[in-house]
Amino acid sequence: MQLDTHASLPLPAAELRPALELALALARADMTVLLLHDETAGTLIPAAAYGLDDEHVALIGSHRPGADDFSAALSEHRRIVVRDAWHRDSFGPLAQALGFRSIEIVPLFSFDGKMLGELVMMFRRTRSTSKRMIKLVEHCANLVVLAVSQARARAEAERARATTEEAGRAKIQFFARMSHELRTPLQSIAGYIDLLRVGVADPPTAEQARLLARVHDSEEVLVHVIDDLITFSRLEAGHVSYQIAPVPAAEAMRIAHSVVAPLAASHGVTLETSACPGVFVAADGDKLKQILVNLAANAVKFCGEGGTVRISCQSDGDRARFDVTDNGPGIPGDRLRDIFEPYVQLATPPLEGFGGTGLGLAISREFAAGMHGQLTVASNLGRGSVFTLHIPNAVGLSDAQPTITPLADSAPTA
Amino acid sequence: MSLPLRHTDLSRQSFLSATNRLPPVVLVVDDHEESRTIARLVLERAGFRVAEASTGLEGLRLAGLLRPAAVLLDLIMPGLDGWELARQLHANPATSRAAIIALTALATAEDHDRALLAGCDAVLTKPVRPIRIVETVQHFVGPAAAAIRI
Repeated sequence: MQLDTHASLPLPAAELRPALELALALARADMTVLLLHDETAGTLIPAAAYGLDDEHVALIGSHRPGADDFSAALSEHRRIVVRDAWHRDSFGPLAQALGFRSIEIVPLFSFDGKMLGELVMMFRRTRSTSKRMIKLVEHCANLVVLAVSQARARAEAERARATTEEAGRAKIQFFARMSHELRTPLQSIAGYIDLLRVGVADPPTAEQARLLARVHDSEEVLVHVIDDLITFSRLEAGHVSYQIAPVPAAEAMRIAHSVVAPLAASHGVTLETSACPGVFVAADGDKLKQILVNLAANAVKFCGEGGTVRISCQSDGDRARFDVTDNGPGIPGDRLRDIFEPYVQLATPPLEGFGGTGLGLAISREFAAGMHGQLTVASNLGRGSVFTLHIPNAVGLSDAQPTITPLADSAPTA
Repeated sequence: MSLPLRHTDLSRQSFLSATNRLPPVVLVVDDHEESRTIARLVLERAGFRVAEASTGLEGLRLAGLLRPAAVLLDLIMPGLDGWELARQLHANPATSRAAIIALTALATAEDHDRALLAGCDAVLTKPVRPIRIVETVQHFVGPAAAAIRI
């Protein structure tokens, strides 16, 4: 039997019925109904029943505590036993309609003393009450209280979980919308800058071209910041999925190299990529690419003019490691611990030459973890840093076809 | 009736008419005027003829009329949106041969996949360097007229 549960009491009747069934059997009642007290409406409302159909439950209806005999148990804190309900005005018509002779109503209070409701038990025959029976019914009432409390706690937890999930979704939608709204005017900026640069009106002078290039660079940084925020909001909400497949390490490194090379050139940094034949890692190609690009772009910006950044890879048993090594100023030991923490860069004085949202490394670490890998860093002040991505080899993957998506609009995320 | 075709260079037009080889038409459908202007300027510079539509419905009408070689479309537009426009262009034999290129400020893979499923041949994310718009159009329809490029 399904009952409509009241809006403020969204307790599934199915969860309450086992306790009712037990109470019915122990008390040898023929039918039982659980009335729950709705605090906002101030009424007792049927929440679950056993041995009764919906029509009969509707006949019992809802009751205002203190207004009638039915609700007296709760309002007067006492158990009501009517041995001959047929000849009691307030129960007679109901007793005849439902076919019970005796009725017993036990008030239910939660463990912290709040009005919970009533357990109503109905008997087809007149029955005498023994002391033992009174005790048993008390136990039954406690059982029902327990079931109601549990069902409420579960409903509450479910509601909290749904709220959290909804908030997460709203946040992602908000970020996606912000991204869209920011990209649209950025398209105009990017477009007009480039049109000016190529001289769609008049060819720019050398000085104008230099200034336009600066605007162009800033616009690209802004796009990366937006990308980072979107990616991070999705990671936080657990909305990122990974397509793990065998990826040739050399190909991932080659792509990262080609993306970061222009940045390295403009910073006067030498970018080296070691050969890494025959190594296949189990990774999401796009995310592996993004990690390497992030690490290499960070290293380029960090080590400054005249520095060298090296991307290398080696296989080690069932795992492979990618190292991004720079000979920059290094990272102080007290900063190494929290360098992967999101927003750290925003919260602390920036490391010299280390721009960006502060989300790039946090995103890389999350991506690494999502591919069953790990991101670590070692640094020597004055000598340089090594960021290492440890990732499983592709040996264990059933799909032997190496796949990597072609170079798309990849961009460094710093 | 005047078509929103703009020719940057009349002598070029007559030259092309003489050789009986008009440059291909690219239809730009975007409710954002600046985006249309940039696409038009850069595509005209590359030698294409460009028509503009500010709504999906107008885009659909012009596509049927002009039979463009490529349609550059925004995804989020009031009324007939880019996904639906791509579907209808793809389904209509008169326009199904046009390369459909989405140019959108939506950046997620899901949105891009939906666009590809709707019949787009390529998706570009805003902001895109104008040269990428030209390269993408050329990838599908070939160069407009290499000989007379500025």
